[in-house]
Amino acid sequence: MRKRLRARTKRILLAWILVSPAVIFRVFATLYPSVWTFFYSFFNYNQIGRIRRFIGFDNYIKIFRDQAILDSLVFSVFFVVVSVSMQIVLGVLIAALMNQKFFGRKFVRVVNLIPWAISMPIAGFSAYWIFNADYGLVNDILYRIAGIKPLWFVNSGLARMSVVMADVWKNTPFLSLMILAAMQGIDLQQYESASMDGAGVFRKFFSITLPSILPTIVTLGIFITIWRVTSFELVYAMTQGGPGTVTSLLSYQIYRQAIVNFNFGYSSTISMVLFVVVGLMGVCGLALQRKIAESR
Amino acid sequence: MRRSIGARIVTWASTAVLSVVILLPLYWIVLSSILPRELIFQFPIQYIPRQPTFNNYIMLFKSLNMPKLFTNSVITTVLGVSFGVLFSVMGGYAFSRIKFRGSNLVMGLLMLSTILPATAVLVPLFQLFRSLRIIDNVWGLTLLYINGPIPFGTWVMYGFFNQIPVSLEESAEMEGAGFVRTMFSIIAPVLKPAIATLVICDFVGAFNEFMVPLIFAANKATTLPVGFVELSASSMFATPWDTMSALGTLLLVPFVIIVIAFENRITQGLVAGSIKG
Repeated sequence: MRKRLRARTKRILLAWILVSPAVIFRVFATLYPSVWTFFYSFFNYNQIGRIRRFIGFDNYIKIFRDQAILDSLVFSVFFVVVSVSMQIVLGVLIAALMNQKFFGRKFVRVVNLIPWAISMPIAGFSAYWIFNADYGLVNDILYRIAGIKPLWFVNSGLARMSVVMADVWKNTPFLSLMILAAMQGIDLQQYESASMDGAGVFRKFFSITLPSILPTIVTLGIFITIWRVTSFELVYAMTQGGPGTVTSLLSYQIYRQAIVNFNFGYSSTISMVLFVVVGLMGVCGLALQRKIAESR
Repeated sequence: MRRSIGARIVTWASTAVLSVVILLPLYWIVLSSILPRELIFQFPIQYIPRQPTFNNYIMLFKSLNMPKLFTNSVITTVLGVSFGVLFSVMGGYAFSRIKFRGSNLVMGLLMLSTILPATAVLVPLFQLFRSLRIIDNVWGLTLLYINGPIPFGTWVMYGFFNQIPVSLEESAEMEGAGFVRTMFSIIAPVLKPAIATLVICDFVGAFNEFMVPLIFAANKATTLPVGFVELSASSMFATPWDTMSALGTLLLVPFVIIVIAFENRITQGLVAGSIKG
């Protein structure tokens, strides 16, 4: 009896030893700093003037008056919703394509994976150049086909669209792979019996494939949404938030305030806003998941 | 399985569209890198270059300290991925095989740390690094590179270990092998494919990492992807697309090759990481 207890304790100790490096890293690099962000948000903490003064909710009030931040908030939500929706639709289509057994299948898989494998700044800076009004690739093609050359980065609406398109280009492949995985988990029997009942390709897709992968799509959608909202690399590389501030994401503003303006307190406050946004998205996502699960 | 003509046409048409959308921009980047500077700024675009030149690459090597950037990238990525994968394997094994109190809590914390916006922890982390004086330092950067792959890696390894039958270890135990012995002789060979996959996926992610080195390494310790920023900052006139496309091509090509060579493994790895139940 004693011997078994000691073996058990050794096992538990082993577990903690094994897990500790991972945990230590994550706690120190992610969880612990979050707490500090919370504290800093209540301070007027500026590196330049070496100020570090507790000012309570002043930062928060300042945010509600700051047009740039409010613009960022609006754009962040817009960007994420539009981009993720497009990614899901395209992702499903691409996954369906990769699910077919045809000669070019491996080729499609390889090509599809490429945007994932190249670094964000390449995609971002290239996108900036590709959408250049005068010399860019997009306008070259548009001109040859339709004779128009839109001013992508002058018009706010177009600028936002270009950022969304670049984001979709870069990230859809990853999503499509996840969706493919879900599709491959569908029981083939269902398709066969549907075929025997006389269902055509489209009918099978809408009645069998889509409903089966819907839960996965919702889950993935939540994760991707949160992930995109918190990333700013693309915006940084493409537009630096411009023209003006129309394409700056909240996370980009956090970066700007902290690293460019050295305004740590304010930056932390924006971070708290981002936390809230992420939290809301998570809650909505969970509610959506539950609703889908219930309706089955 | 007989397939209708219509289905075939749709399939091949979609393939064509997808390929063009993904490959054309890449072709254009490579094209720009070998066009003489004046010809880049031209309209309409000359899709087949008539006078290709390597001048842009020469300019690139003059503008940036490429060897330094490359070394930094290699050190941070190699160390980051090695330790990251090691810790992931350890953690994945522990979560999968050993039922210990608090394991759910710890796993939940790990997952939570993934969702937390990286930008939101920026400020305190930046402060911490500054006070430790590891801001513009390759080793400080490496710490962050180790941190990155951990959540994904632990999850993948956890899933992987769940699928390995416990009987393997049990039979080793019955023959009297200790923990370390079991790990290295029995488990390791089975682990190899999963580790290979994880290493490739993590390597791609780490090498291409942009935000972390941008913020935590300003001058001396920066990595290749941040080179883009240096290039664009160094030119006062227009964005130096000639050198930037050269850098872009240099960073592109190896990864396209990696994708072509390892597509199977990468797909498996990413898919395994997505089964979030």
